[in-house]
Amino acid sequence: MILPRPSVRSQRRLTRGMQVILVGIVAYGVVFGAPKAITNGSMGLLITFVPALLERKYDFPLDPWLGLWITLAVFLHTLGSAGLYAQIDGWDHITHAMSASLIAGVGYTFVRAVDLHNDEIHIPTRFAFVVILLVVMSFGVIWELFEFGLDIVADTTGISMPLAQHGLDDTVRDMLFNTFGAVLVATFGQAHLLGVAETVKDRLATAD
Amino acid sequence: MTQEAANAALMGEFIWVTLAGLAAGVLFDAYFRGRGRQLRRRLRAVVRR
Repeated sequence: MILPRPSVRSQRRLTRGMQVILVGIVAYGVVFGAPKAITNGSMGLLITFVPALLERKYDFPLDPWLGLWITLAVFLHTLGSAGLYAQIDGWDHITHAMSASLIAGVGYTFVRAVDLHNDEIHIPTRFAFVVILLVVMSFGVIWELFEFGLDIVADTTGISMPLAQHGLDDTVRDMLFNTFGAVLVATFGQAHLLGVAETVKDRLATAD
Repeated sequence: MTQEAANAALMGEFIWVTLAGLAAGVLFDAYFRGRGRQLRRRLRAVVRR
């Protein structure tokens, strides 16, 4: 299944727009003395440059969808940390589904690259679907433990943390939306990530 | 049981699950590496004959 592909130009315009908003968040943090906005905004801003950096420095062109996807996931999380997590109930679910789909994409690319690189290993498409789900659900557990750890540190030290857990319902809902993101990638990933997997395979072949 | 206590109990389960996953990963890795070595040794022995 192939999604309509944005042009490289539209991807760049949308990325620039998101970067401008992120700069605005960092500026807000500096002016109004909000350290959370500064750290989250700066980190988000840095990650939005990763697709362009991969292309320029490592000659690793990304599908425009993939570039936009990475930028959007970080952008939505930064907006959430800037206040939308507290103001909009479902925001957390959107960011979890987006981040999970990104993790699923990385998992899928890795599995497919191994499949293409090694003649002795064959991973059928249906099995790749299962692997994507397992990668995302496992990463979801690690992520929840990370948030739980941050909660403990915040309780012990009194320092406010950029992430927090909000009870059992929230944890279970997060994992539900992680799975939703994984299913999306398992369905659409084949068509959009195969090119990336082939580039990774070529790099593995060069490394050999 | 409160939501917070149930969540903490779930996180406790997650920690054990993660540790079990890590241990299983190390075990499987050692097993398959060992099998690979054994297979290569046997193949070399057959080729020598």
